[in-house]
Amino acid sequence: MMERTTSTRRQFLLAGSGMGAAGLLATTAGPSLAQGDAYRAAAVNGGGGIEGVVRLVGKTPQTDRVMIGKDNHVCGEGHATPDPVVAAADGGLLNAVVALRGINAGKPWPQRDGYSVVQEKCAFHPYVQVGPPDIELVIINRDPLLHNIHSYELIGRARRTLFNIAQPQAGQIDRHKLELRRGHIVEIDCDAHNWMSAWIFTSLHPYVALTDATGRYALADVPPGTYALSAWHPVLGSVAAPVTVAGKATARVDLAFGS
Amino acid sequence: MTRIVIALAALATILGQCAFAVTASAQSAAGGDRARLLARGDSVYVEQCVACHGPKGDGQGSGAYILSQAPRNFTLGTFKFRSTRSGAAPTDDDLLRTITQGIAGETGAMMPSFAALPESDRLALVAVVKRFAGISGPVNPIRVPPEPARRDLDLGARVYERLQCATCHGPDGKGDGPSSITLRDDQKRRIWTPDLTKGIYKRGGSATDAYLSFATGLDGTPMPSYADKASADELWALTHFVQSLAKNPATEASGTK
Repeated sequence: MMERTTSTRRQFLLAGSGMGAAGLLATTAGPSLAQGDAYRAAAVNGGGGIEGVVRLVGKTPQTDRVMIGKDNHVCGEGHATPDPVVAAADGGLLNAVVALRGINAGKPWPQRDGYSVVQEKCAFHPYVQVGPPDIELVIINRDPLLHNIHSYELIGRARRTLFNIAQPQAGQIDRHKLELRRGHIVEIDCDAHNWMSAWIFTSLHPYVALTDATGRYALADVPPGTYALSAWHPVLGSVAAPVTVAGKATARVDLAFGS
Repeated sequence: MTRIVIALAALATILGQCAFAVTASAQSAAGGDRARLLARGDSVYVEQCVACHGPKGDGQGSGAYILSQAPRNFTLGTFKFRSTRSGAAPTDDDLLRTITQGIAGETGAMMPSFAALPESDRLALVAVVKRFAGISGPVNPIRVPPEPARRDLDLGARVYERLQCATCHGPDGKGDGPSSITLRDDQKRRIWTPDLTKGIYKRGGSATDAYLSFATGLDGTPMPSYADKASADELWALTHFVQSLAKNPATEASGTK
């Protein structure tokens, strides 16, 4: 019971490459998790866990390579890959976001500040991050040249501007609250350097996790029940599978793109 | 004494109820006014706007395909010409201004001026655009300090350099900066940096227009907001410098574009 949507900047490439051409749904901005859905946060006792690996099966799709055509003294030489697909030898996929769907009550987001995007050597760090929808993003420029941090909310195929601010000098710091309306995925570009790319996957609930370089993820304190579990990747779109969580037990769910 | 207090309290209650009644009736009247405004606006929209902006306000009008620049999709709520911070909704005055003066382009108006419509109709269109865009509630324009009498072009040139305007606009403002060839708009369509030496400004030609472009950016385009990246004096100096690019005889003489 795998379901697939492609939602992102490579959707045409994906559809054209044969990957996931079957079962393509009309595009939505990633897995459905409308910001309007209610979520009630409270401490969870006797919850279970979900662990697993997100894999890329088969050929790694070819992604855009962009020439570093300016500011080479800071940005380096050669080509950059704005949206890389990085998979280990066994297919373990880096930078996929695993998210529980259909959960309306559970633990709160941990208190944390410092959701940040750093521009260094003409790249955004981190490339993908997860957080609640109302975060205040701290934007830092460490490069001695102009970057403009241009963020969009993905709504279907459209991109709605959240903000576009210039940082012409190193050391400049701006703070901007994300004000999402209908979507939950934020895409960040720099128009001055068209190979820079970053993503923020926002969620009302904290049952979202980023995969590591081996493709592994773990979700803890999940209230027992049956849910859908989705994996999303900026290039590959999303896949989902059902999961049943029992109290004080760990369910194992592996998800795969490209199979 | 007690009697006076009771009398005052009673008076206050009566006045309060009156005020409440007045407020409630004002609200209901306002609701009726708004309905009438939108009805008028819808009617004018169908006559004047729908061919390009489409019946749903999404920029998918039947004539949109012949335009070299796509008509605005109001439903995204993204507007270039604002007096508000980047990402924020425009004010009613901002929208009224764009409807009234249109949008200039190098080969003629990208959007025609609707100044010939009565102001009441243009205000009705503002209400329609806001409804498409989901704009409600108050919007705060940024403060534009008074324009200084002195035009400090040297300072303006230094600000142009420090803010690295040349990255896109080029060293002479001709729109030929190193990043100009890779620019795309919010929907990933190719977009060109304007040639500032031509003196044609989409937003309008006043000094305040230029100042606001720098301070608020042009949402939907790569032009970012430089709010807080330069002082008001510096942004005014930049304004005067950019205006001077269009008037500088040396620039015109050397220009081949």
